[in-house]
Amino acid sequence: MKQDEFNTTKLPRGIIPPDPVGPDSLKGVPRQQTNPSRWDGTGWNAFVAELTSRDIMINQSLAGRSVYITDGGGVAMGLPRGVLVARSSEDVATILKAAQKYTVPVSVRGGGLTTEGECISFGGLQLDTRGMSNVLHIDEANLTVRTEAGIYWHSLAEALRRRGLDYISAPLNMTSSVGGTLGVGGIDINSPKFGCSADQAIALKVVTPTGEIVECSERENTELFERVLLGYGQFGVITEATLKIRPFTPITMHYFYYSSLRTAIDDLRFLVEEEAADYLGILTMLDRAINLLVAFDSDEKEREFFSRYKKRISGLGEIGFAIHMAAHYALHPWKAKEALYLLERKRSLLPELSPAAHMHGNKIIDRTVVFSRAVWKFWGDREMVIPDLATSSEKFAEAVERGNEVCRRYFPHYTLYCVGIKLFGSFENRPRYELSCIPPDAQNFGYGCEFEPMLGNHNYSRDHFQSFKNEIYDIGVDMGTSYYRFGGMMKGYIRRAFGDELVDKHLAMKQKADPAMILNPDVIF
Amino acid sequence: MPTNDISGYEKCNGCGLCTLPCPIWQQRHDALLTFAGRARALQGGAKPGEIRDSVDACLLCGSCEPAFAMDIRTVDITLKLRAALNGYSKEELPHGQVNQSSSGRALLVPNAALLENKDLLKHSARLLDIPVAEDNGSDVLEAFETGRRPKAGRAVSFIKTLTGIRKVITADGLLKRYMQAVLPGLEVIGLGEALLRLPGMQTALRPTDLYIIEARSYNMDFNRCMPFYTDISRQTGCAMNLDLQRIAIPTGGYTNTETGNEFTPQNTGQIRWILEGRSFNRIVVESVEDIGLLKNAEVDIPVVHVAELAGEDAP
Repeated sequence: MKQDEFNTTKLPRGIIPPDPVGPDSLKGVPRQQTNPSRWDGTGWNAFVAELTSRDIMINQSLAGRSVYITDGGGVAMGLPRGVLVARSSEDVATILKAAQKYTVPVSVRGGGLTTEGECISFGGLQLDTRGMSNVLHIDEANLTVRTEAGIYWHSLAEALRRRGLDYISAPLNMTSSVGGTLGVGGIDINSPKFGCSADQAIALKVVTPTGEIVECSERENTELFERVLLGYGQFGVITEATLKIRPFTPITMHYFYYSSLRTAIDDLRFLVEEEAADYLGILTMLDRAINLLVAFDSDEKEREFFSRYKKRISGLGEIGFAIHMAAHYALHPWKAKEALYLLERKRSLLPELSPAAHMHGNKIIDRTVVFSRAVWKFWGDREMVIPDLATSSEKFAEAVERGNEVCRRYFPHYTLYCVGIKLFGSFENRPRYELSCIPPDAQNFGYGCEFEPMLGNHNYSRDHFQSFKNEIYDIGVDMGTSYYRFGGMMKGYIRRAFGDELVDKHLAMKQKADPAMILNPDVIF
Repeated sequence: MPTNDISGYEKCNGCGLCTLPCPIWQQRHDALLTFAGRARALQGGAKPGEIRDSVDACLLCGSCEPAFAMDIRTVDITLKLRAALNGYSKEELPHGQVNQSSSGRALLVPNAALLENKDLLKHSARLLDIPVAEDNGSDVLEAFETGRRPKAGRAVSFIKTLTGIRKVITADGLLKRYMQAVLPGLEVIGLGEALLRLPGMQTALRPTDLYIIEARSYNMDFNRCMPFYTDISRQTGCAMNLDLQRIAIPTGGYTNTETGNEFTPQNTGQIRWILEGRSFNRIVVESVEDIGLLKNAEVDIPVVHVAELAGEDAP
């Protein structure tokens, strides 16, 4: 394909343009930025006029639009033409009907924590779902909650905690929204036990791209239910959700330390597949200082772990690892700088993971608060670049090691965050897994690794970031994995990783559901 | 335009943590009305005049400040924006000298609501064994809150009344912030905290109480106040208006409605949010205004001021 064929600005909506990442993303070729082109605004004035006549006022001020200029990643930038904070499913339905009529792109945003620009509007309407943040009903007997889907998980937790309840699993980030999370999966460190957040959904209220308000579940309108969960916003806007919940329990956390990435990953896989703990994850400080987090909801589970599984893993306790590392650096004195970095990291990070106000004895009371604050404090730069790979169990160690090699070449310091994800069935009985972050060859459990550079005070160019991300994503293409960050600036990899047949199948479904292709354009298609 | 250095907003990375405890967010769910929204708008090139509604909406409760993973003085930035919009510069604030000697006196500075409740004021002063300030500086504080220039000479004359004072106990947490600006070094403590530190007061709290902290005072002094109140809550078993981040949820009752925000005494949205889903038999408040708010919310549960705990037997 010639380079000039990538000029997509003149293509009518509904026609899928060649991918702007294109062949340039292949190895050995200079990387380019991949923001979608800005929509040209045709039909906007009529769209706004129609909504105004229905008492829906679009905020077109610079101040109002600037709030949405970027996402959690801070790399992609796009200014919407107008903004609306949706207050009801009916609002959303009216907007989508008008958007179909006037072919106005609508980008939906909850917490806005995407990192590949997925929720950014490049010239169309930015629909902020957080105006729908009410908890509608808590069923304490049956352990379910019905909530509006724009709500932050943290706000939902606030409402549940007062009744001694908690959500089951959600991203370790307090400002993720329920609807956004269900649309992309949602991984927690208890995902090895409970699966992704999308698997906690019992029923949804969805506004389809053509503006119908539909209730769906595993029994009612099942096809829509399966398309919307892990559907990356392509098949509807989730406005309400019924979720499973559970009694609140503080957790007991243990850390095991490794100097070998491969050994740590092998132990993670072993513990995940044995279901030996309630929470499991790997967080590295260096690729020779790896932290395996193991946590429990109950003392019984903790006792069982120590009696049955502890002796079968290789991780050291803090003192044992300190001695091991002291010996290593004594024999490698030229790496003193690295040792100092490690000491500083341990001194600053570890206390943040057990702050007194959020502890009760040795139990963490508010794990999401603790981890979310730590995430933003230590990794939350103005730009966050977090490419990832989602693989089967068999491919996981190789994928992480290859990704680690890429990280070493691009950044002096970075963190790898690895988790397991329980799967509930196959693509046949859970169509939601198809064309998603769930690896196509995973059986029972999937695994994910985020490669997160610590940017510190360095100023890196966008090209540097994009090159780094592309090299990680290239590993996925080579190995036939999936990606947790699935779309936006990396959407070019979706077709490459999953193949034309599967992508075209979903594209046909999308075109049928969204004739004008207005809902969340440039995310997947 | 007077100089009001509003630098700091550029550090906002849009994480949104500051919105979680924000009362305006809780009531409106409109990002532009929060600090994060203001910061993003300014980053995008908006002028202060274009975010006036947002600047005016802020309660100055300070709940966003401890929520930040970054060190951003959110309330100071909002105060400077208000001043800039009113053509006043915070640099015009007077500065005084604090009496650092241990011989300096302590003084109770009531706000308007406590002044009106003479019995409670007298009782509080007696418990604390300190005099009540003759000049509570309410007009100066109102100017500070609304970003307007106080009457000529008033700020200076108010500060003069604090000459020789070592410690101030205040019924309005915003005074802490004002004093930090004009009399740095002066020890300023919230009335509720001061009373709770008296012998026997904490033991009068019951596990079935809901204790409502004055949020401005607490949030401004979060690192010192949070462990103090968390310990009390754990020891007595009483619930508090703290969110999962241990930030005090403001009631909105002590806010100056001159700023144009929506928290009139009739707005019971925040107090209802604080009460929702909790079970308790008594409410203990630090702020006199909250008694009125709870009355307006038609809460059918006994409400007492923290000063009224004195003399109660331990449960």
